[in-house]
Amino acid sequence: MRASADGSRAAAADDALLRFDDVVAGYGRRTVLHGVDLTLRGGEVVGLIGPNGAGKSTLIGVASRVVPLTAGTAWVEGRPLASYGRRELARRLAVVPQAAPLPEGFLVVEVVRMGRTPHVDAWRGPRQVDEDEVERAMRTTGVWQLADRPVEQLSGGEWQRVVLARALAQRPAVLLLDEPTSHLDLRYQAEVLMAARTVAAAGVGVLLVAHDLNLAARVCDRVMLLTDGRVVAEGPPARVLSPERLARAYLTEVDVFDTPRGPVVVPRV
Amino acid sequence: MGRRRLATPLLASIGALALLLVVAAGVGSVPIPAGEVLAAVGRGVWRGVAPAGIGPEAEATRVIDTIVWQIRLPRVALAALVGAALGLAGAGFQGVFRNPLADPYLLGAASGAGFAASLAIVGGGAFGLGMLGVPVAAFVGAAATVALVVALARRGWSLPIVPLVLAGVVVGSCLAAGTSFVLLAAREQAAGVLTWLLGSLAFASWARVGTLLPPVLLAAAVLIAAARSLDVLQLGERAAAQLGLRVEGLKLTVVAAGTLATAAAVSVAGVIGFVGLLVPHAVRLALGPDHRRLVPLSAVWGAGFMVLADLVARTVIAPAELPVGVVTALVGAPFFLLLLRRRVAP
Repeated sequence: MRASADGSRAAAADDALLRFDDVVAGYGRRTVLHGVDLTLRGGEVVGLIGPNGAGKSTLIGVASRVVPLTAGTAWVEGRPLASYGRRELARRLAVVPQAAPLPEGFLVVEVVRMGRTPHVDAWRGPRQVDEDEVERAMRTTGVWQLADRPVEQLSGGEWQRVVLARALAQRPAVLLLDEPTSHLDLRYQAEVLMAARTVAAAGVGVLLVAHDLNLAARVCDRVMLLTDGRVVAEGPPARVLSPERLARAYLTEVDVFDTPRGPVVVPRV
Repeated sequence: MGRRRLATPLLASIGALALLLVVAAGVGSVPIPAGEVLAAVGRGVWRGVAPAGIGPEAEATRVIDTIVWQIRLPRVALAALVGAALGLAGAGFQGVFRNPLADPYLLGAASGAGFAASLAIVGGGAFGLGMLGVPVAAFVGAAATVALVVALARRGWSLPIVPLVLAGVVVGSCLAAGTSFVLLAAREQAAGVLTWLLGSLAFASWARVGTLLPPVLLAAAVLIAAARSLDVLQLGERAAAQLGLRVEGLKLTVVAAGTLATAAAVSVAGVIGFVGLLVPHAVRLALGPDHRRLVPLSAVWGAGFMVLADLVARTVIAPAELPVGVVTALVGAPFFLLLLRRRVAP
C-alpha cells in the first residue's frame, strides 16, 4: 500500500480507478469545480449529468490533466494524478472529447493508430501488438471495414465511433466519454452505448458525460448530478432523476415517467 | 492495410533529384552533356584531381572538370540544400501551426535576416569588410528574431500558437521597416541589399555547401524523429496531450529545428520565398498529410524545386541572372492564390 498522509483516503482510493477528493479547478481566476468528490470503479458506467456550464467537461479535463487542479486531490489507480507523466497517464486513461475534429486527409486506421501513441516507442515505431490492439478497437466499435477511408468522408456516426476506437486503442483502465452520442442517430446512439457497456464489462471504469438523461438512465449504474461545479446528487438513476431535483438543477419543470427500463425525463413544454 | 509506403516515393524522388542535378549541372554558358558531367564527377571522385597529360584533349577535359567541379556542382548542390532546408522547415511549421498556409518565415526569420544582412552590407562596406560578415549576420538575425518572438509569446512553459503568430507578424513588420530605412539611408548600396533580399545562389561555393550541410542534416533528423508526433498534434493540442504527447516540448523542438534550417538557408542564399510554403503543400496534395512521408519528401522535393528555379534564374536572361527569389515567387504566388481559393471555397 502506498504511504500517505491520509491513510484512510489512500485505502479507499485503492479499489477506485479514478477518484476525486474535494477537487477545485477552473481556468485562470474563474473557478468551475467547487470541491467535487467522485469515485469510479472498474466495471461500472457512471453518468455525469447536469446543465450546460455545470463543469462536466472541465471535470473530464481535470481527470486527463489538461485542466490544472487548484485544490484537492485526484487519484488514478490509487496514485495521485500529479505523479503521472503524460504518456503514463494516457496508457491508463483515455478521453473521447466532445466534437473532436479529425485532421483531413488521414485514413481511419491512421487516426485509430494514433491511440497507440502512449504505448509506441518513438524510435522503434508500432509493433504487431499495436496493430492487434488497433484492429480489436476497430472491431469493437464496428469501424473495421472503414479502415482505409479518409476521415473527411465519414458520416457523423462513423466519425464518432472512430474517435471511440482511438480511445479504446489506448487500452485504458478509465474511459472518459464527453457526450459521445450527441451527433448520432438512434441506432448509433445504441451502438456506442452498448460499446461503452461492453468495455465496462471487461473491467474498465467508464465515465459518461450525457446531455440525454434518458440514455444515461438506461446505460449507467450510477449518475452524478452536477450543478454549478458541485455534485448535488449521486446514486442509481431512478433515485437521482426526480422531478424536483431536476427542476432545481436545470431551472425548468420536468416530468419523469417510470418505465420498466428506468425513468424517462421530458421537459414540460 | 492503411500503411502508406515511404520507401517507394522517397527512392523515386531521390532518383529524379539525382537526374535533375546532373542535367542542371550541364546547363550554362558552356553546355555539357549529362554523360560528360557524370564522367567529370567520376574522375573527381575516383582520382580527386584533374587528369594529367598534355595536348588539346586533356586540356578540354581539364576545362570541363573545372567548370563542373568549381562552378556548376557547388551551385546545384547549394540550391538543392537550400531547397531541402526550406522544404523541411515549411513541413515542420505547417505541422506545428496546423495550418497549410504557414511558412518558414512566419516567425520573422526572413525579416530578421534581411535587417541584419542589410546592416552588414551597408556597415561592412563602410568598414571595408565587403560581403564577408553578411552570412553570419543573416543567420544570427534570423535566429535571434525567432527567439525574440518565442520569448514574447510564451506563457511560462507553454507556447500558445495565436500569440506566437501575432508576435511573429509584429516583430517581422518592425524589422522590415528597419530594412526599408537602411535602404533609404544608404542609397548607393541599395542595389546590393535588394539583390541579397531577393535571394541568389550566385555566390555558391563548396565552403557554403559545407556550412549549410550540418544544420540541414540536424534539422532533418529532428523533424523526421518528430513526424509521428506531428501527426498526433493534428488532432488538436488538447487531444494530443490526452494521448500522452508532450505538446509544448514538441512545438518548441519543431520551431527550433525549422528555424535552424531556415536561418542556415537564408544566411547563404538570402530570402527565397514560397519554397517552404509551396513544397510541403504539393507533397500533401500528392501523397497525403502524414508527416512520416511529408517531412522527408518535402526536403527532396524542395531540393528539386530549388534546382529547377535556379536553373531558370541563371538561364532566361543569360549571361545576366534573375534573383532566384523572383523565380520562386513567380511560380509560387499563383499557386498560393489557387490554394487560398480552394481553402475559402466551401
